[in-house]
Amino acid sequence: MQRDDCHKQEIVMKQTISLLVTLLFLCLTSLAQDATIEQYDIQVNCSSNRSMTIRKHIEVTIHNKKAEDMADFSTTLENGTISLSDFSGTISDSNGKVIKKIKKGDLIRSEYSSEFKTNDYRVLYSFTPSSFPIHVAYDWTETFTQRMTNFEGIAPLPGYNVDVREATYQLTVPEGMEVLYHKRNTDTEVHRESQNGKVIYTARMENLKAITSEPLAPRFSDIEPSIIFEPKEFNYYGSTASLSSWQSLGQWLWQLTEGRKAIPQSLANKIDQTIDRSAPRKEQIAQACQLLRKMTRYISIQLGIGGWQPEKAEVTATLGLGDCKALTCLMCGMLEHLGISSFPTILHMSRAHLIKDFPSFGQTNHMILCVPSVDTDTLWIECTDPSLPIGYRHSGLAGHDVLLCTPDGGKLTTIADNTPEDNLWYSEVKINPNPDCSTDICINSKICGEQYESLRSLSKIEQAEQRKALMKMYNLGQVEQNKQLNVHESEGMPQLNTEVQAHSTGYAVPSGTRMILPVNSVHKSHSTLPNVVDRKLPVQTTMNYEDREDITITIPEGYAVESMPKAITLESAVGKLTMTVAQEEREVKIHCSVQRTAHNLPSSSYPEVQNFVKQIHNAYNQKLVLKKI
Amino acid sequence: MKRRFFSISKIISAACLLTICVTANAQAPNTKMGSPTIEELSMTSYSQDPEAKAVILWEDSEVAMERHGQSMKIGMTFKRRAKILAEEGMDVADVTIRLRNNEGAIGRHDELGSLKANAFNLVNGKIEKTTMTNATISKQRLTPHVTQTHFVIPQAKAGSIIEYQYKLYIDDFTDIPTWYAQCKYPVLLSTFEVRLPDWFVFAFQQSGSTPCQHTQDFTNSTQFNTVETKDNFRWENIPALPKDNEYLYCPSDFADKVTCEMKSVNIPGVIARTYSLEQVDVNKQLLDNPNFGGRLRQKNPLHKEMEEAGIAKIENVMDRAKATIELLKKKVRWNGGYSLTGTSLPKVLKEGTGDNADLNFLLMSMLRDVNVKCHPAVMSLRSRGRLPLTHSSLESLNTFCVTIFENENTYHFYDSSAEDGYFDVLPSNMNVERCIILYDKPGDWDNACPQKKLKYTRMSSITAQLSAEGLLSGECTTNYYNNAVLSYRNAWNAKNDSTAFVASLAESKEMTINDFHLTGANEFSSTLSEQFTFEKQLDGDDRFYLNPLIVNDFKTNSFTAEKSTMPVEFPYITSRMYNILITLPEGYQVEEAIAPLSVSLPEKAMSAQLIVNAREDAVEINCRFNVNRIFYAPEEYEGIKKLYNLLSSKCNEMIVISKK
Repeated sequence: MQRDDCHKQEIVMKQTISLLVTLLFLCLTSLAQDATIEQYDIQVNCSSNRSMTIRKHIEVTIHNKKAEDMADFSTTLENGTISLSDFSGTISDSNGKVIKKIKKGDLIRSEYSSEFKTNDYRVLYSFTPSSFPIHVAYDWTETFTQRMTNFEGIAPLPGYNVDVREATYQLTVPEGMEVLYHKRNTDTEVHRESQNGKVIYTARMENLKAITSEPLAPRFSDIEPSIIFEPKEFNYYGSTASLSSWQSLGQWLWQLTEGRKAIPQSLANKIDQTIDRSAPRKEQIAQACQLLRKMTRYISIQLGIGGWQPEKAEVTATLGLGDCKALTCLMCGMLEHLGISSFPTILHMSRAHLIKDFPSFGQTNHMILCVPSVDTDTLWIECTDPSLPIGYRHSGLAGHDVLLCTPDGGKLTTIADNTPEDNLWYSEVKINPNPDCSTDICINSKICGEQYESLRSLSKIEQAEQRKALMKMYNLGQVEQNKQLNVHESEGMPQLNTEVQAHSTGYAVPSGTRMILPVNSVHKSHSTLPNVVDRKLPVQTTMNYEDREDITITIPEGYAVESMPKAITLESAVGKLTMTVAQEEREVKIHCSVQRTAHNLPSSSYPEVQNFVKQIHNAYNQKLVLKKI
Repeated sequence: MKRRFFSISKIISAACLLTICVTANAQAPNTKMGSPTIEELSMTSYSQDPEAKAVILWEDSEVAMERHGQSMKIGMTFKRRAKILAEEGMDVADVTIRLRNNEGAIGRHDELGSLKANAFNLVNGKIEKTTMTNATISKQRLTPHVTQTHFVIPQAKAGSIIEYQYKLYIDDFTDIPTWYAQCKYPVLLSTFEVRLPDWFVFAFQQSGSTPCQHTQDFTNSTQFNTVETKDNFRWENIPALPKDNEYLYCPSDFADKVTCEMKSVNIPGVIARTYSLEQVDVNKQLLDNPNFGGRLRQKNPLHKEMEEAGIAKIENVMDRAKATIELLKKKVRWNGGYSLTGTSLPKVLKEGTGDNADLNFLLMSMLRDVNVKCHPAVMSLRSRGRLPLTHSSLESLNTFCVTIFENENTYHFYDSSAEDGYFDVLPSNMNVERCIILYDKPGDWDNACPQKKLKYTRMSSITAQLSAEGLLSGECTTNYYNNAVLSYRNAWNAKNDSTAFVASLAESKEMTINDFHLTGANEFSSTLSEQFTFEKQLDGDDRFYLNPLIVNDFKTNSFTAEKSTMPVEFPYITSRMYNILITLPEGYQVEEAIAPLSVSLPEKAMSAQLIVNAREDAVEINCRFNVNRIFYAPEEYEGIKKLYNLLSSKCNEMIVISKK
C-alpha cells in the first residue's frame, strides 16, 4: 500500500514535472512567436449563385511590437456588390480588462487605390497597443451580391512568426450547387453533409505552428496551409460559366472579348499606311507594337465586369489609354486587321505556376497576347509595355504557366524560361593604373534579358542621373572625370549596353610602396547569406543568370605583382563559379564567371548554397597587390 | 553620293529644328489656352535643358476672394500648358488634385469646378485636339476629411501639348495655398496673381533662386465695394528642381515659391481679427486654443498612480522626470503621428495611444503634478520646412517637443515620438535649427536651437590578434551615446530578431560575428553598449593585407555627384572615434603602415583623422570623424565630397604585415 502510495506520488511528481516542462515549453514556444491566433472562424452562407454572406471571427493574442499591425482591422469591399453588414471589435489587456470596444461607426472608409478607376474601397481601424501582450477580437459580416467567382477559403496563418490554436470553416450552399475545393500544404479533412435542403462543408485546423522566415524561402503563399473553395458554376455580374476546367474558364474569357476587337477606321488606315504587309510576320507584329506604343499608355480601370472584360478596342484607341486587357484587346484587333491571329492570355505576374487541376479566378492577375507560329515559335506580347523588344519574355512571363483564351476554350501552356545565357551580363574591363595610383577604367557591358529588364530605365534618364546610378552600380572609386558615358538599348533586343570610361583617384589604393586594386569593378554586390540553424523551409532560387567578366589590369611602370588573386572553380547545385588568373607580361588577365540556375531544393541544401554564395563573394572581393620595384 | 545627301539633309533638318527651338524660347511664352502653335508642337527639345522630358510652357494661378452667400471663399483658377518631349515626361498628363473635404455638413468643404483638359497633336501637319471626358476622370474619398480627383488626359503622348485648367474653391479664406513655381520640369513662365479686397492683409514670402518680378496694384472692387489689392508674381525660365537633393530634409524650402499667410482681416461690421504677425500673437493664439493651451491646463489623469508610485518624493528633478516618463511609457504608445494640438488627456489614456502632441500634453500634466517645470517647444519638422525668417507664423508650426527644466537655467528636450530615446534625444526630423519655448504667458517665450544641443556620439574600441595563418580574431566594443543610441535602437527594433540583426551586421562588416551582447537596448538611458567577438580571414599567404578600421566603416563615399546645386544637411552633430589595437603573430612585423590623415573643412565644420602606429609586436590605429555643423551651403559640397573621399581612400588602404 505504502509502496503503491510512493509509486503514486512518484507518478504524480513525474506528471507534475512533465506538465511543468510542457507548460514551460509551451510558454517558450509561445514567446518565440510574435502573435497567436487563438480562434479563427469563417462561416460562408451562400443562398444562390448571386449572393452570400461571410461571417468572420478572429481572436489574436499579440505578444510583442513586431506583430502590432495585427491589432488593426482592414477589409476591402466594393460599391454595389460587397458590403459590411455588421462589425464589432474588442481589445483587452493581459488581465482580460477591455481597453477598447470598436463599433462599425469607428471604422474609417477609404477609396484610396493604386488603380485609376475601381469600385473597391477599404474600411479600416488602426490601434497602437501601449503594452503587450494584448488580446484583439474582431467579428464582422460581409455580404456579397451580383457576383460569385469563389468562396472565402481557409488560410489562417497571416504570415511569419504567428501560430494558430484553432481555425474552423463552414460553407453552406443550396442543395444542387456544386462546390470544388483544393488543399495546399495541408491534409485537413473537408466534411460534407446535407441538412434541410442545404449542403454544409466543414473543415478544422488546429495547433498550426508558426513559420519562421528564412532566406531563399519560397513565397509564403506557397508554403502556408490553405483550402480554396469555389462554386463549379460561377456568376460574374450576371455572366455565368463553369469552373470545371481551365478550358471552360478560357472559353468564357474569349467570349468576353468577342465583338470588342474592332479597331476604328482611322487606325486601320494608319496600319495600312505604316505597316509593310510584304514584310515577314514578325516584322509586321513589331511595327504594330511600335504603333501601339506611340498611341497608348497604361492606366488601370477595374469597374464591374470590366474587371475581366476588356474595353472595346475602338474606345481604347480613341482615348489612347487602357489597362492590360484593353491594350491586349486593341493589339489583338490590330493584328486581326493584318490577318494575324492572336489570343488573349492570362497569367500571374509573380506566381509562376497555376494549379493545373483546379481552375480558379484568383490564380491570375494579368493579360498578355499570344501570337502562335511566328517563325516556328510563339510570340508573347506584353501590350502593357510595348516598348519591350518583341519576343522578349520578361521576368513576369518567363517560366510562367499561362491560359490561352481561344474560340475552342482555354488552353494551359507554359512560357519557356530564360536560360542563364539569355540573362547574361557580360563585361569587358580594362584597368590602367598610373604610377600615381590614379586609374583609367574602361567598362563595356552588355546586360541582357532579366538583368537588362531591371536596369533598362537607365537609358531613359538624364546623364547626370545615369552617372550617379553607374557610380553606385560599379566599383570605380572616386571618379574625377568621366571621359565617356554611354547607355543605350540595342534596337529590338533585350540588351542594355553601357560604356564607361573614367579617370578615378580612388580605385587603386596607394599603400606606401604598394598599390592595391580590387579585382572586379563590375559586381561589387555579390552578398552573402546568413547562418540559419535548423533550416526548415526548402531553398528556392528563382532566376537563371550569368555574370561574366574579362578583366585586363595593366601593371604600371615601376611596379611588379606582389600578390595575385587566386583562381577558383566551384560547382554547386545552384550554379558554377569560375575564376582564372594569368599574368601575361605587363598585364594581369582575369576571367570571372558566375552562373546561377533556378531550383527548388530541400532545406538540407542550404549550407551548400550558402557556401557557394560565400565563395562567390570572396572570389569577387579579391585584390591584386602591386609593389614598387 | 546618296549617303552625303542624306547627311546634309539631316544637318539641314537639325538646323531647322534648332531654329524652331530657339524661336520658341525667344518669343514671349504663349499664354493662350486652346491655341498651341505649330512651333510648340514641332518642338523636340528644350534648348536650356536638352535632357528635359517635358517642359511647362505656362503655369498660372489667379487667386481671388469670392462671396458665396453669407460666406467668403477663396477662388483659385489654375491653368497649365505643357509640352511632352519624351515618353518619360507623360506624367504631366496624369494629374491628382487633393481637396480638404469633410464628410457630412460640418467642417471644411473645398470644391473643384470647371475642370477642362485637352491634348493637341500634330497629325499630318494639322493640329488635332482631343478633349478629356468623364471617362478619364476618377474621384475618390481617401479619408473622412480628404477627397481626390485624378484625371488622365487622353491622347497625350511624346510630342503633345497638353493643357488643363480648373477652379478650386477653398472653404477657408485664411488659407491661400503656397504657389510652387518650380517643379521637376523646367518652366518657361510661371505667373501667380492674388486679388483681395483690402479687408484682408496677407504676408507673402518668396524663396528660391530664380528672379521673381513682384508688382502690386490697387483698384476699386465693385463686388466688395472697397479697394482691391492685386499682387502679381512672375518668373521666367525656371530650371527644373534639382534631383540631387538626397541630403535635404525639405527640398521645397529652396524651391522658387511664394507662401501666403494671413496677417489680419477686418470686414467692417462683420469681423476684425489679427493673425500671426509677431511671435506674441502666435503664442496668444496657441494658448487660447482649447486643443493647445487648453490641454496645457488639463489636470494629470494619472495623479493617483503617480502618488502610489511615490514619484513626487523622488528628490532629484531629472530622476523624477525619468520616473514619470517611464510610467507614461507603460500607459500609452506613440501612434506614429506628429501634430501641434492634442485630444483630451483621459481619452488619450483610455485609447492607450496618440500622436506626439497627445503624449507630450499628457507627459507635461504629469510632470507639473510632481513639480517638474516643463514647457512646450513649438517647431516645424525638418521635413515640413523651416520657420519663416521674416515673421512669426502659426501656419508654419506643426508640432512641439517638451522642454524639461533641470533648474532655472538648464533644460532638456524630450519628445514622446522618440520611443527609445532619452533627454536631449530627438528624432533627426525634430533636430531643427529653431524652435520656440512657450511659457505660460504669450509675451513670455524663448528661441531655442536643438541642433546645438543634440549630439550623435559613438566610440569603438577593438582589440584583436592576428594568427600566422592570417586569421584576425578579436573583440569589438562600441559605446553609443545620446542620439546614436536612438539610431541604434531603431535599427535593432526594425529587425525581426537578434539573429537577423547580427547576420546583417556581419555582412556589412564582412566578418564572422560570434558572441554578441547588447547592454541598454531596452532601457530608458542615453547610453548603449554593443560587444561582439569576431573573426576575419585576411588576404595573402606569407604577407597579410589589412584595412585599418577592420569593421568596414567609411569605406564608401556617398557624395558621388560631380557637383550639387542644393545644400547638404546632416541629421546631427556627430562624433565617431575608433581605437584599435592588433597584436601581431610571433615573428611578424608591420612591413608597411599607412601615412596619417588629418583633414578638415574651414572652421573645423567637419574633420577626419586617422593615425596608424606600428609597434614591435602590434599595430595601433586611431581614427576620429566629426561633423560639427548640420547645414552646408551648395558651395561647400566640393569640400565635403573631398573630405569623404580622402577618408574613404584612407580606410581602403592596406597595412602590410609580413614575416620579419
